Amino acid sequence: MAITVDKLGEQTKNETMVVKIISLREKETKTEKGEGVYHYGMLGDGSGTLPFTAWSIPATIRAGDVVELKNFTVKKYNDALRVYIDSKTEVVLRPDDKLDVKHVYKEYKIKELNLKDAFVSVTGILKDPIEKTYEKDGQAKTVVHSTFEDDTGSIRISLFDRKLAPGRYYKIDGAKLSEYKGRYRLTAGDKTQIAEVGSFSIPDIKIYDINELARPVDSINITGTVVFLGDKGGLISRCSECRKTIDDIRCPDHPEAKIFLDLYAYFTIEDGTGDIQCNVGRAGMLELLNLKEEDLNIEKPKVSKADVSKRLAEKILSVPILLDGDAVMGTNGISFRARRIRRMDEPLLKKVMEAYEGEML
Amino acid sequence: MMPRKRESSKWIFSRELKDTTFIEDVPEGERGKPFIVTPLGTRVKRILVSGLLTAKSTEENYTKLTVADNIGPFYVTVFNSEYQPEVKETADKLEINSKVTIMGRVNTFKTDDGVIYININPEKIMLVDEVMLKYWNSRCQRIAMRKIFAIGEMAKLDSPDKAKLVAMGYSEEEAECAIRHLEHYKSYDLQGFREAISSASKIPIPEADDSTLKEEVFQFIKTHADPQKGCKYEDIVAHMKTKNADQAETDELLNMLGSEGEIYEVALKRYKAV
Repeated sequence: MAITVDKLGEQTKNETMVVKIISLREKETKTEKGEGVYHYGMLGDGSGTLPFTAWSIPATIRAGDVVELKNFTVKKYNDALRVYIDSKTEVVLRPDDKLDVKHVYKEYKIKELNLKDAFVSVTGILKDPIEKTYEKDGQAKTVVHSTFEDDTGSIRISLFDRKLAPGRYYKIDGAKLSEYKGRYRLTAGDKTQIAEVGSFSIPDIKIYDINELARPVDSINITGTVVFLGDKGGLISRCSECRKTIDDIRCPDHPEAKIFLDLYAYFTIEDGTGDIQCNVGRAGMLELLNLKEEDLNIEKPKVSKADVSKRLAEKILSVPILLDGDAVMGTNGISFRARRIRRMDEPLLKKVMEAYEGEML
Repeated sequence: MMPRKRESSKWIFSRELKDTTFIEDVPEGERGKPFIVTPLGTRVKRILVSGLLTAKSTEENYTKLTVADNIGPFYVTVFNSEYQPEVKETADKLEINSKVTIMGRVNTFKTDDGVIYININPEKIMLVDEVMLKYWNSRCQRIAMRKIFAIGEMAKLDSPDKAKLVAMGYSEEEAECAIRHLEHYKSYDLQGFREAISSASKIPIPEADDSTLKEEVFQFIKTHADPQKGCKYEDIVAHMKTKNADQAETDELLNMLGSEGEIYEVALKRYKAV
């Protein structure tokens, strides 16, 4: 009797199974012993799917084939089960067999998404859709870029040729997870299954301890006190062409380009569990410093560099602050891109502490 | 060479620092001050504390501060430093009962009898408001309670296993703290500590006569100490009871004076003024 994919475990030995090779890729290796090649991909049956690595596999096998496997092994790799096929494994092609594969994707909270699982299942609310058209094979297609949020954070999602209603809750199965510029994003293609689900509560404040931040996650909150404030931030001048910060009256690379005033700050905060580098851009700084766009008119600025630095220090030094923003992966690990900074007063502190309390084990 | 990661500060109550009895050895070939390991297993080199300034003494080369959180005092020594002269300047300007947040390095002193005195050498002194004190207090409570829960879970295991605690939802730091606690403080009174921090929900109210009581202890030791054997602990406690200070308060005052270098222990539980 053949075993099915959903029954496989690390203890599986001397079993036979009939599976479909869903995908098959080749990888070259170079070691001290020489060069070689191995294959990897996904296999599955009516009960589910698993990744596999084949150190040795018949050259005739292609993606889509149904095969019978004997003497394979199952081990955990990166915390996930994986089937291993080697020279002792018997791989028999069954050209006349058809097999429907049940795709089972691991369900994740957005904060737990991890690139080790490329296809995932998430549930949340769809927000802020922006529709764009593109051309493929001479045909006009649409892609909708949105925010997808659950009770732990949010993620950007691109929906190809799918239109979902903003403000509704969906379960998305088989979305592809990838990383772009330090942030995670999901892509839903034609094979992704999407079903509307009932609403659930999403807190205003999604609070994190700094030492919890190991991977990118958007729309979260951290708190802390500033222990270092960078002195190159504040009111700065930028080149409108390359957007680089300039110290002179014109950009050395684009001397003809206009210069505009911008706001930016970078600092380190601590919350008792660790520290994190943070930065905040124009919109967050305008709100924090109670400034308006017109105050930054380069012809008639209503604030000076010294004013901005003084106000910034008054607003964020020696006080507890609440930051709204995104945890982003960079070359030096995770940093925090703040969209909003709030100095905590008694009522806000109470709200924040209740949010922490909800997270207590 | 990889740049060394900045050592972030630990936020702990004074009681956790005061009850510390374990100092790590500085690894061979490395310079700098050693890490201390607190009863909750926290490995500390840099600390951030908040509280009320309850005592200050200013000398030309250093300023000594006592900062009280809701449980007890932190002892702070600010030296004149050419690198950070503003820290001493800030310290000198502070007024008693100021609300402060201080970030600094812990500095340890171990007597021949094995008694450890810990004070803080500040890198940053900030005047803060009551919200900051409440925030710091709440964070310390949460951080300490999670560590206590982690210790409880770790103690239930046949052998310490960091991965198992992380799988339960604790951070790696919390799991490591639990292991260090079991290694160095297995018989520590966690229940007593828990009760102390549970009651620490209010901002301390400055006690006007704290410095008077401290002076009383100091003067008593100075005038009643045997030239060789010093002054008996029991005599000091008995005297202070007549001044309405209980044994725990007297212990605190003795610790404070010891940390400030005003008194020292000539033998076990026998004190002399410097």
